[in-house]
Amino acid sequence: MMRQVNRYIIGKKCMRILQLFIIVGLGIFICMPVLILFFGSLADEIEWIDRMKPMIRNGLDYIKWKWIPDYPTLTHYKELFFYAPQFMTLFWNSIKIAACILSGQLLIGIPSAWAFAAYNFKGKSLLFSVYVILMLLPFQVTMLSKYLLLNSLNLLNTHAAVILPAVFSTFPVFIIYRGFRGIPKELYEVARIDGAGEWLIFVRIGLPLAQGSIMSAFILGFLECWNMIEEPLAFLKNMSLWPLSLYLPEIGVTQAGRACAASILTLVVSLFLFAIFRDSLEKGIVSSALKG
Amino acid sequence: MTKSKRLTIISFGIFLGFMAVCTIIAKGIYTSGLPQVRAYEPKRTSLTHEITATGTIRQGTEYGIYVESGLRVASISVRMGDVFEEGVSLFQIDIDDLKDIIEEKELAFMKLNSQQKENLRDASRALKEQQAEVARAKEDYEKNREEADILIQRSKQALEIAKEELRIYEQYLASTQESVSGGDQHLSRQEKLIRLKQNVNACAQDLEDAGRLKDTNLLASDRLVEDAKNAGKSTYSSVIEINALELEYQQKQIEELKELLTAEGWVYAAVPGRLTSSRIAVGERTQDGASLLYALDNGERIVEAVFSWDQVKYLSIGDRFNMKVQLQNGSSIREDVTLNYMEVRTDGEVVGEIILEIEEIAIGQTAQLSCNKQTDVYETCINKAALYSNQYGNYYVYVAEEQDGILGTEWKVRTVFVTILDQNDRVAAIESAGITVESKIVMSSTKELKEGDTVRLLE
Repeated sequence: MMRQVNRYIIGKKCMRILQLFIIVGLGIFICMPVLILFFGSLADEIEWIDRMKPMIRNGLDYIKWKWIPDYPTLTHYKELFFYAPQFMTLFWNSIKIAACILSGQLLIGIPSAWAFAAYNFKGKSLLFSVYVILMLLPFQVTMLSKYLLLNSLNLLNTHAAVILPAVFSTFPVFIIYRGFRGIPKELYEVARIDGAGEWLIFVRIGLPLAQGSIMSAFILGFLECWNMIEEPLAFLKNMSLWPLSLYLPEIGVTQAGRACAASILTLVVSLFLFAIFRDSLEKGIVSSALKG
Repeated sequence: MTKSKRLTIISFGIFLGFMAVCTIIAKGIYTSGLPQVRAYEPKRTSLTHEITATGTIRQGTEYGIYVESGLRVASISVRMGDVFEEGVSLFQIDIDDLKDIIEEKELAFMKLNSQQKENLRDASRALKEQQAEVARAKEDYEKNREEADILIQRSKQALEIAKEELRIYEQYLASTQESVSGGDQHLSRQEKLIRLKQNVNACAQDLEDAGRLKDTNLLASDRLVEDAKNAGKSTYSSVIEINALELEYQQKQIEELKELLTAEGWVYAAVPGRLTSSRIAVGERTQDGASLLYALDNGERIVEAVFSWDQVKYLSIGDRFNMKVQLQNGSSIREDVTLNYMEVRTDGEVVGEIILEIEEIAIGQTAQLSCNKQTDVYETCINKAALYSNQYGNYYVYVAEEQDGILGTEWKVRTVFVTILDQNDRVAAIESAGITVESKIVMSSTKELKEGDTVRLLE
């Protein structure tokens, strides 16, 4: 009996170790692009040229890859920090665009979502359906109409051309709406009975309870605008207005190490924001999924 | 808010702050590394070519002092540049050598004279023979003419007789024509008539032949007379004439040499002047041509200046130069002069000459010449400091152009190859399809430039 119990315990431990290996392996596999970027950013230019020789010479062979560089260096980071004002310019362009878009989205999206969630008005369903349809439309479909509209407003080749369409995006409205909808309507009734006004109900009840959804919309909105490529390419002719996502195409093939380092630094901001808002994001996604 | 989240937010803030600091540093390093350039737009202007040259004053017309060639020089009293007066002894010929030469010349003269006398005798004898020959030829001529005349006379007489016989017989036939109406008698008469006519024709032919024969014979005789007259004439006359000339020349040479001997070999200046060239040396024999060259001391002056080929492109005969000459007494002369002559010497130098009428300027002094030549207006003129050339000798300039980049509008330089139409020491007129009047031509840079460099334009 004891032997059977011990065999069971050992088997369970082995199983857990196996599961751990599988999970760690999968984790490494998923993180592999980031790891490749990281280790690639530590290889110097000479090593990169050596790796890319087969491709550069005749294009018939593959790049040789090494995980650990033979001569690790932080030269590319140093160059980006101190010798690449172009990178810095685009970095702050991205920060500016993201900040404006997210502020606008929250400023516009939260009241809109609150209106859809807390009030009943004529045509509400139809209007919400239009919101959902607009959310589903890809950028390529709306690009021409946006272009013509921005051109008529003389906003082309300005940051407003990228910011304004994103500010009025319907996606955050949809996410936040789900958060507001998760709040029991009895709470609003009780508050009204206690004499609370609509603004007070929105600020004291709506916003705190839908914080998760708002943060989810914030994070998802940030990731979308931080990585946007099509909109700046279509609406921004002046390169000095471009966001950081368009920096990599400007790097030559012989500067692969710098490209890796730039990618890592581009990732840093997203990682920070994810670390800060991870709890709220998880809660928001869960609440949106469960209570929607 | 948990402690780890607060730490993350603080880290994010530090990261953004670090990025802000790095932005300032990176921009500072970037801008401090940019070449600072000054650029200007090309101008539409004409070029001024300042042509300067240093000339040497030399004599105008030169004269020669001649002595017989082949004389040995004993001494020379003057040097190059010396000024001499009339009657001054210039150089001396070796007297002993001169005597020997005179003796040789006199001997040669005598030999030739004897030969000439012999020639004259021969010529006289030949003349007599020729005259006799001519007389004989003339006599033959006359004889031939007389014989021909006799022959012609006889032919004429024969012709007259034949004509008379024919006329008589024709009269006879006319008178007897009625009695003889036919038969053999009539036939014989007609035959005789024909025979007489043929006789007349034959006599006429003989007369004509006699005349032709006379002309032919007289022409041949006349030629013989002419040949006799010309025989021996040309041979003797030409030799005698040549010898006579040679004798005259030798006589003159001997007289000149004797004059030189009388002067104890000294050669004197006939007029005052300045020695400009000497072609004799002590101990050497004189050559053909002038032994000394001199210029009149108060004659015309010529400024001789060497010009470069670049300068020659803008020069032409008649150009006015400003000339400055520093005189020996410390004062200077400024004068506007005219370029009179230009020539390319065998060594490739281009020499210009200016004729002066200023007597104060001494031979051998230097003159500073300057002349400004204005060209036509060129559309695109730049400072030569902006002009570069590559290893193949092609000229190019850097043109700064605005380009939009990630850092905004920046100035980048572009290499534009140009053709130089004209240039002086400061400005060049260029031509290129890539340059307009609004192009920013880089004149100076703090660093060496290359195609595509980003630069900082200093206004």
